[in-house]
Amino acid sequence: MGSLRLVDISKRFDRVEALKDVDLEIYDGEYAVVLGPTGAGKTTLLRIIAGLLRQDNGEVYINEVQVDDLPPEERGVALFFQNFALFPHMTVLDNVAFSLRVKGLSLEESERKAMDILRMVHLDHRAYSYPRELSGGMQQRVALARTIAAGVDILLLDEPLSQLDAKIKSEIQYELRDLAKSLGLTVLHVTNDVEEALAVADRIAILNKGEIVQVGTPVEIMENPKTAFVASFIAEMNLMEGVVEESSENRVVVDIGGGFKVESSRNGFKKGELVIVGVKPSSFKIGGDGKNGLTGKVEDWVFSFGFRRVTVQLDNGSRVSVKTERKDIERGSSISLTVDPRDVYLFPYLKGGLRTVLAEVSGVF
Amino acid sequence: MVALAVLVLLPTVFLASFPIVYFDEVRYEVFENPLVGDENLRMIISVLLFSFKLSISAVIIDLVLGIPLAFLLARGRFPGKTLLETLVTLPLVIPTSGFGFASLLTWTTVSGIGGWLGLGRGILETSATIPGTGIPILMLIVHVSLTLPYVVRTLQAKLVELNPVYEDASRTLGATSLTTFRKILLPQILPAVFSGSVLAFARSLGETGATMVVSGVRITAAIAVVRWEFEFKLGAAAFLGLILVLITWLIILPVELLLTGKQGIIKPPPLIYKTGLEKVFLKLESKLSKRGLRNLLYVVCIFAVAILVVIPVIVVGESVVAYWYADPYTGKREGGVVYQLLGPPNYLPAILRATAISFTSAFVSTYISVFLSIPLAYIIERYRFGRVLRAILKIPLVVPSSALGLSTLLMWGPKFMGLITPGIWLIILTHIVFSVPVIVETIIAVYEGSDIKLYEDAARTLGANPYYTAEKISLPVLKEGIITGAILSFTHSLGETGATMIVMGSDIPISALVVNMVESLAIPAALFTSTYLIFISMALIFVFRLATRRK
Ligand SMILES: Nc1ncnc2c1ncn2[C@@H]1O[C@H](COP(=O)(O)OP(=O)(O)O)[C@@H](O)[C@H]1O
Ligand SMILES: [Mg+2]
Repeated sequence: MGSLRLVDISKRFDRVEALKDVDLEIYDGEYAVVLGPTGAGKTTLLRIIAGLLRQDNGEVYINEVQVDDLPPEERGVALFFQNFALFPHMTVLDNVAFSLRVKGLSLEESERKAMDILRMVHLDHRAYSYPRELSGGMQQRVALARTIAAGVDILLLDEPLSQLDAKIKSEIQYELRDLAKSLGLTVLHVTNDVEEALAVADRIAILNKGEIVQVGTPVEIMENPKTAFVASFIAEMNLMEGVVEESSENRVVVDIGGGFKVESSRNGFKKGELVIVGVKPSSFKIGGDGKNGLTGKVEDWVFSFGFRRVTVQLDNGSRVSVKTERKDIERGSSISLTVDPRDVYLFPYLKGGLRTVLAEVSGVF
Repeated sequence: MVALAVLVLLPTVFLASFPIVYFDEVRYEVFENPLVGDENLRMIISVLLFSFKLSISAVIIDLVLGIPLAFLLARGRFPGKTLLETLVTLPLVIPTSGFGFASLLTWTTVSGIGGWLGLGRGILETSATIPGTGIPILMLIVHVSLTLPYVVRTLQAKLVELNPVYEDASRTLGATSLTTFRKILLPQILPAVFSGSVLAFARSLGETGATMVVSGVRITAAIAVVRWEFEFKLGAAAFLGLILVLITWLIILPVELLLTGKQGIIKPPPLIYKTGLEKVFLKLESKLSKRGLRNLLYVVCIFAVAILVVIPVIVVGESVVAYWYADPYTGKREGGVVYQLLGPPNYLPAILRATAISFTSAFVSTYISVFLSIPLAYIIERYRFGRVLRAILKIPLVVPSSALGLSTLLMWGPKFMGLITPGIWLIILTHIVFSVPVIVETIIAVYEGSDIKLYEDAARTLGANPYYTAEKISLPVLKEGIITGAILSFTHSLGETGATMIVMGSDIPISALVVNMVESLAIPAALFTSTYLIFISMALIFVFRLATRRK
């Protein structure tokens, strides 16, 4: 059994409001991911759940029992630390066996079990090394093994895959999920890597500046981002500012400057309102004469798995990124783009405009 | 290196060579005295045994009190932390004889605790001993007060440098706070525990000023050295000094060589599993790891500091007030503080001059010592012969300070090199001899087991030259150790009496002035001067601490 419920958690450090009224529920056996840029408050959240940090406000329930007055060792959650925190004076094996030994298992038994777990992360051959003798990726796997060895139902993983190289990472992230599922664990995994989150999560909660801005399955969030921040952060949408010119039941026309008007089949915005327009890089079509024609110049392009990512400087001055399989793209050439109104997203305007959103996404405040 | 050799090592070696050079004299006095035979030798043995018993007991109590205090100061956040820190350091500042005097008043007279409790007498006899051990309680109390700062400060510096994330990790893996302490913290801080204990042990072994005041009839080795010196039994004095050094080495060296591993981390043997003790420990730890109990422990430790340090200070302060205008018992104005300071004895100008001398010499000697200690600590850590160097550096700590003073005087002074006559410069030179080892120890305590070598290598590969690396990378990380060492050495320098009196000539610093006052029976003036010194030093440490506090 392992369910986790956070009610109205707030935490303030001297100047920073690290968490604001965070409500989150994680179900038994679920693999949940909290996704947010650096500095969003992810580590703080996990430390509060683990009992290493006391929240200013709000309650933590584990299996529906309020645990706020319990010390970390009695909460029944295991925390994977962002920088591993492997005990430097112990071998890999001793690190992994630590939680078993403090429970009173004998030397032999704890060693046998720790060895089994090390085998799961393919590090049994380094059991007698010291952490400092291992690479970052290996240390990360040891830390993972140590967390699993704690034998609790709830794992809190703070960026557990950040040190792995791309290839191993995509392999290990599925292994990690399978492992958690096969052991029936409830996992709260935090990361700033969107692809990783999309790959492993049953459900994602997006954290921005200490606030949860959206919770949903990967598909829900990809298809229906609620704010410009989520759109840019998750779906890598192109964002543009504009003013609503016409608004009716299923049609909104937004003036994005430079004489360009884009039509969207979403609504909920009034005429004259400032909005942020979002378009996924893959939603643009090059050439053609559909609706929503935009023109510009190809600034640059780069290869990405099987397609090209083209940066276009639009004639109204804004810059968009376009994903295409076409090969006849040349730097400096003129280009015209169209986009289906159904693929044009609209988001409420934020104080500070687009620049604030983009800064938040990159984690720079 | 040369400066180091000349300033620190030479006087030390000079002292050690003394008994060999004067071996005839030694043999005559110690082994084949025509009058008493080997009486002196037996005396030496019994005195040594007593000294070791006393110092080891003091260190054990230091550890019991010092580990929780260091933890509280390093990890805790509470109002009054800087104050507690200052209080722990305080016994170093007070001239040791003054502190001994204050403790004597506090424990054995009606002016102290006994009077407060309305007993009409002191609560202790000077000669009272711990039953079954023969250790005088008062002496032990004084030694614990004087050596506790070394343990607390060394450990605190180490703990501050140690990343608390390991403790966090251990807790989330199911270990209680005491189990975490035993399995995670202790192995990492053991080198610092060791350094602190050695400093404390050495200091206790060599302590003279306070011990003389409270000793009653029992004699420690350090006191014996000083007595023999005054009786011009130089050979015997030097011989005992040498034995003191050798025995200390015999204790320190093996531990240092065998126990501290490559990373300054000590791996415990799996013995406690074999004997099944582990389970007992775990059970006990989980019972005792209650927050309330832990706070109780802290309170007990703070209370101990209060009794050891604060009350003697208050007693002295109270006496100053009582003696302000006149002697409260005889009513004579001549026995009052005001009369002695401003009246015909006119101590005030002497006090002011002494203040200037004390602070100048403490500041200059600490400053120079810091600069000598940093490269020295580096050499000790980086080279194989470093361990030997480190062991040699312990000598100035164990040798009774007056013997050390004598040796610097003999070496630099008119009799041997004739370079420097007694005075402030010789005070500074002498203080450097025992300041350097203290600072080196505290730096090493932080250095060992830290990641500094890694940072240094990183900086080097980033194109920084070794000097730049040391300045920008190592020094900031070692800051805690350096600050701690500087505070310990500065305060020690202010309070040092034994060596200072031998080398001061006519530049009388405040610690020696207090002794002079006591000797000329100007007790009120002595009380006032001690109080005055205590408050100035407290203010100074306080300001220094605030100025260097971590952001
Ligand atoms: N102990 C602390 N003291 C002060 N500020 C802190 C502390 N821990 C975290 N913060 C601040 O809180 C915010 C959230 O930090 P953190 O939870 O570490 O973010 P994340 O893990 O998402 O990168 C950051 O702005 C950080 O600077
Ligand atoms: Mg983090």
